[in-house]
Amino acid sequence: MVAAIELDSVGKFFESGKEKIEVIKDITLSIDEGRFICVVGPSGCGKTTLLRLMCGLLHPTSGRVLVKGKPPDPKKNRFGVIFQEDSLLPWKSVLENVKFGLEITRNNGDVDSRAKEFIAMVGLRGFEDYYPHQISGGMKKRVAIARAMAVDPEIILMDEPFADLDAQTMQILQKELLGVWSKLNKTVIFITHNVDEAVFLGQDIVVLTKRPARVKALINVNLEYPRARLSPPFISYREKILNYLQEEITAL
Amino acid sequence: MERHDRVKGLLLGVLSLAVFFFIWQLVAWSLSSPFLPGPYEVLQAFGRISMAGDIDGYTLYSHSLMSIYRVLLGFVFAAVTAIPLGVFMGLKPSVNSISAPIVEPIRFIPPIAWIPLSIILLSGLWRYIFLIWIGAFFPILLNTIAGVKRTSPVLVDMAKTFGADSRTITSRIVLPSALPEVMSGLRVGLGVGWMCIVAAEMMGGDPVGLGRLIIKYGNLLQIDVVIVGMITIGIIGLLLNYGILIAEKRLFRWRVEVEA
Repeated sequence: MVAAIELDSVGKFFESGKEKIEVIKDITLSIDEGRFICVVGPSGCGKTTLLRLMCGLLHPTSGRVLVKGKPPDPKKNRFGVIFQEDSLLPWKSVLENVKFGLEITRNNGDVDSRAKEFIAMVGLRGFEDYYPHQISGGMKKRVAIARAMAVDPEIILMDEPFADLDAQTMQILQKELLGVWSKLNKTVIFITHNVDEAVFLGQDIVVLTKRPARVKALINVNLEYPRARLSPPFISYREKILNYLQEEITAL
Repeated sequence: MERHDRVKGLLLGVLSLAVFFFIWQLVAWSLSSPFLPGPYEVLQAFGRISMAGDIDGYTLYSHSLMSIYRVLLGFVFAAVTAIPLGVFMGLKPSVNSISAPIVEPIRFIPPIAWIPLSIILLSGLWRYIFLIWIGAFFPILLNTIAGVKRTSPVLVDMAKTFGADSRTITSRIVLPSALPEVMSGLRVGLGVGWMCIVAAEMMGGDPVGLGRLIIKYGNLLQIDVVIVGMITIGIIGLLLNYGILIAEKRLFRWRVEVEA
């Protein structure tokens, strides 16, 4: 079986003026179809760059990125990307925002009813005609999730999507995300700097080093969903990952 | 509380107008010059020009209508040229580098300086259109460029991850998100274009137009009618501005700043 995503000694440089900044160094990784993967690393280590490489917004300087055996191309693949920042179109209603992805990715089918179905799935039935400035931050994230899921993506890429939310909303959305994922069975790459979040969500956790990012550790979280945050194994996973990160931060 | 503030604001406005007219009347009395009419004489002149018309028989209404017609024509020309150019300049740095050296200095040439050239090069209605166009063009252009450049990169990335091509991104992300800025460019442009009306109407031999009215009666040293023309220009300008402002608020309710 072809891996959903494969990174083959991927490296990435950015040039800023005369300076060359190495952001990612020799990352090799293979992610199987349907897995929920969390990527954690010290802030500014290149997590977002990694995500942008996976969906074809950026191209690697060296090595290769393969999505189902081919270099990623948003025009051919179908990605569902959820950004940390608010990415809703402020001039469009909730319904129109969810339809936006559908309209671009597919020309046929009943866009309207499919959009409504996914709005209902994220619990926003009745809010179809609201505008982004009229709803809360957590609701905006749900709309973004509905928009991404509605296009039936091959891969879902999430870049610290809940980082700006309050702790309570964050935990609710984490649970809901797991519910949606178990229903749709999609490959999810979830980037976060929040270790608790990573252990709560991920089947596998990729720990990155400080910049230039390499894979520091690959941890399989062998816990049943839903996971209890206060259970001893949960805490020991957390500690393990925190220790890895601690090493990286003190090494600065 | 809010209602109270609004009543207070309205009262203050009326009061300040009353003080203005009072001071004007005082100055007119103390000078008692035939060249500085007081508000009452201006009001009489207003009635005369509105009802009976000027020395050529044109009423204030037809002067106003003609001026508005000319300004709107020039304004439409400015909008259809400045918006596409602004979008291009905002999107493509290369187009910007090519056009900036030409466009930037022209921006600082006052419309009035174009009068001799436009008299030589153009005729009839085109002279008016050109001069209004020169005035209205730059506010629209600069605001369009700024609006396009301010497009949120996250929204562009979002569209890209869905596989949108650059045309779709321009039409569905860049243009709508630049629209509020384009609109305020249009508002300022219309205002500046309207202010160019006197300069534009200085040229033509056509006896109709508010600018023409002012020049005609200035030459006759009948300042009361000149002031009637000035006040009419001011009030129509205010109304045009207000009209677009209302349209902006309606269109861009999604902008929190507008709503507040």
